[in-house]
Amino acid sequence: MKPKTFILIFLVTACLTGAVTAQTVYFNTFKSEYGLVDLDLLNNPGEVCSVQDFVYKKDVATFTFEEGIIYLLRYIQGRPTTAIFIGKGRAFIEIPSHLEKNNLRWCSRDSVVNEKFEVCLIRLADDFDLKLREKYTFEQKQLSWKHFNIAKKAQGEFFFKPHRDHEYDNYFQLLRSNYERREDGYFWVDFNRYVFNFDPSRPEEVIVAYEHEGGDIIISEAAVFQRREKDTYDDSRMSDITYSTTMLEREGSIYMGGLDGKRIDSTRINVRVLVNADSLRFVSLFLHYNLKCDSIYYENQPLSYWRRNDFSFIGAILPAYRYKGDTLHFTFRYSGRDYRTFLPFVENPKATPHNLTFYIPGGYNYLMPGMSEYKAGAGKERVITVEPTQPFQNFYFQPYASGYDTIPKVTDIGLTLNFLNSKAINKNRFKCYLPDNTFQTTILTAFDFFSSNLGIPPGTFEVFVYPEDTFRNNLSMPGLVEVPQVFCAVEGTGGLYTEAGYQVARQWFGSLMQPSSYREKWLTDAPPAYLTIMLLQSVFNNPAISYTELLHLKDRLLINASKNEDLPLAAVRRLNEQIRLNKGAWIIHMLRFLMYDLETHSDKTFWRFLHEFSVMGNNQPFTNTDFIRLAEKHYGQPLEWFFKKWLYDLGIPEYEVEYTFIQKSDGFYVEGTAGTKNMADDYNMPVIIRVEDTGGQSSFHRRTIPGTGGPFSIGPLAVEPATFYFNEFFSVLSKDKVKKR
Amino acid sequence: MSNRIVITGGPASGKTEFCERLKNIPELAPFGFISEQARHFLKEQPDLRHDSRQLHQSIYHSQVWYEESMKGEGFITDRGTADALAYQPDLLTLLKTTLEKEYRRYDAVIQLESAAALGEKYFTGDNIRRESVTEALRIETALKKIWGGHPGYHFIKAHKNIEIKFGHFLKIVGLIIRKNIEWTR
Repeated sequence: MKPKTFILIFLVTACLTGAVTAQTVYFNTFKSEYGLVDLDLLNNPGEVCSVQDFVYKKDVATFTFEEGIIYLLRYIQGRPTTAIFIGKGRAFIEIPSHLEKNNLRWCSRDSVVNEKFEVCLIRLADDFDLKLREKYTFEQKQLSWKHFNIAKKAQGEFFFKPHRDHEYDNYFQLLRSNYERREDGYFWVDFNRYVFNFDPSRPEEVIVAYEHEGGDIIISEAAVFQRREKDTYDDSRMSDITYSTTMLEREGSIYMGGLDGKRIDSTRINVRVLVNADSLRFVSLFLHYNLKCDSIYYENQPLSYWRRNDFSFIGAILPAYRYKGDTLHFTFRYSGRDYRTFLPFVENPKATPHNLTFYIPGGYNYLMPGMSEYKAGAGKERVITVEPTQPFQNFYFQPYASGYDTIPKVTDIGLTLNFLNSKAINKNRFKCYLPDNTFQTTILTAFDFFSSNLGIPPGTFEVFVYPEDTFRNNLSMPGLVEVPQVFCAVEGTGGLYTEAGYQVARQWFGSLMQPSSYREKWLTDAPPAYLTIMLLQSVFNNPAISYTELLHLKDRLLINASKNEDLPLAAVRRLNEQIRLNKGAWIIHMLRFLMYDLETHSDKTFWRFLHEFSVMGNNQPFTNTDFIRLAEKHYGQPLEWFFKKWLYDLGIPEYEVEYTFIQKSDGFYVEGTAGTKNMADDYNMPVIIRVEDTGGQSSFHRRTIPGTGGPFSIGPLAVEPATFYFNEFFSVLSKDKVKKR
Repeated sequence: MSNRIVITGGPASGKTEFCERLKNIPELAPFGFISEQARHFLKEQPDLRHDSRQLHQSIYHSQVWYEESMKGEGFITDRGTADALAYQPDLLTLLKTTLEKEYRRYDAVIQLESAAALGEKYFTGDNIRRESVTEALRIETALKKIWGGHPGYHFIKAHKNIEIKFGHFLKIVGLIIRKNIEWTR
């Protein structure tokens, strides 16, 4: 080798090694410091000082350390990351959002935090220590046994330690903030049953959490909102969440395998991520915890990242800072059994285009939107490319083995439903097996009913019906309806239609929906849940069947409310799924009867509203406010008062009605008074009232009952009234007591 | 059967191209085709560009005339009467009509998303179309707002591959007229 060539190779190698080493050193330092986050409190360096009337303000919280001592411990990069206070103190937190105030009220039974405490444990990566040093002089001292025991007894760090049910790795979040230490850095404090957490790296930075039940392993996130400067506390702005990144595109190859064709053997998924934050070096990425991440590359170089076992959260550390408007390219290689949430994602739920190639084992078939014809691959392997026209938040697919026959049926609108007939699901194996004819008729009826009112489902031209032997999978995507063909239902009670209706309705309100944030999640569940009730009404002549189903949902909600499990619907993530479905369905029901034409008994306006919502929701990101505006457009009047109650507030309204029939010179009247409970003064709900006269004829009336309660009158009526029905069609979700004077 | 269909969309959404292709499909032979009035007016009288109100009033009347000349037969039109409202919102008052009335003229509306949604490099102008990407997206939003309430409204997303978008479009047309239709060049 010539000397010049040798020197060149040496220099290039040295540069490359230097680059890699620099990154490794940085990452190795990070890893060793990750260990320090959990360092023993005893026998390690510390400082202590006595404090008196020290006031520390962090975003919406004010902590007053009236009298006592504060230890500073666990130094990383020369600054403490732990503080322990023992003495007398007080925490005052006023939740600035009406919605989140209600969430806190649900959790702690109080809408403000005003607590005295004697011990509090703080994890910090902000300037709390500097503010203390400005006022007090610290003495070098290790934590004493006595104070250690007090701190341990208070279990101050119990909820801080990473747990698989945590969305983020708290240690990583503390460290990333410590590397960029500043006044608005990380601050986590545990006192009594509360935790206050300010995490600048989360989209919603402030969390006030409460130990809802003694012995909880995970603390309940009671109030969650964005930092004060963003001023997004009005109910209508709670969904305006600023995310540090946005996923732009996901593309790549997926190699499937396993005995059932459902295992991901390996992948190479490229994602493009846009930086929205002014600058960032630490990036939050997520991959379902069932998927084992083999490697992540960033701009074709190995990426340093941190992921705890069983965590979906991946903390990525870029080699250098990137800035607003930059695009980051990551390549993920992973494997595992979770094929439901099989792609990497970021916090921002914005829908993204997909361009995927599936390599599938011989003998298996797959259903997914936008898939190509099968092409031959290596050996028995086959290849499908997928490039759907619509962007998806969650892209699903369904694998199935061979042995299925396809039975095509054409619906009223000319769209083909392909019923996959599995030989493995039959009457010999399952007691509650549904014969093919019953199964197919039910689904076709549901499809025809919805399409006659909502038009062609978005993004679908051919639908496959995949029979399941298990109950509700919730896997929905354009072109796939999953319905159990094993279903124990008593004929004539509507049970079968409830299940089929829900799944079929998700062709209109399914995985193409683009809620702007988790606070709109209820809008992807509520319409299908309610449409099943409308289907029952359409199929059965007996209204008792659909009303029984509706009232069943109401009973569940009343039970939830009595057990203090009710939460505002826009809290969503923290809301029990059943409440979300039940309350959501009732909101849609109430909107239907607000839009209901009492003269013609027509639902035309309501169907138009739902159709427009389906078009909007499947084609663009929408917020609760967009939904409210759309409802107002079709209703023709403001509905803020309605949604304020049902999306952002708690409790089921109660009416106590007394009425009487009176004859006047111009005819008969129904006069009455309505007492109200559990509703705001501006909750002016129009209630539908039916009056049946002595001739058996019914007339329908709408009367607005103000939130403050008050009198109402119906008349003049030509024929003497015989019976009075308050809240006809159950047009309002409420507890009603009605009595004749 | 649905037989009065509007194809609408912002600039560079493929309306004219797709309508041209539809004319060659045998299953659609019974349909009359109405071409875009705005394009016609601007070609004939370029000065009208400077009098938006006059231009859109003329477009509206011309559109109505063409639709009425179909005498109840099915038609596919490149833009409908309400399109003018996206450009001239006070037209409803001027023409003493309502959106509901305009909706009733058609059984189905297909809005094609503009290529502007895919970014600058996919958006191309021509002699007649002079809008910028931002302007194109603004018009598209206005069209969505106007047509979105139609009970037979469909929205087709833009795609880098125009053939995929056309396939999607064709299937929607097929479902509207309840016929399987295929496109061969």
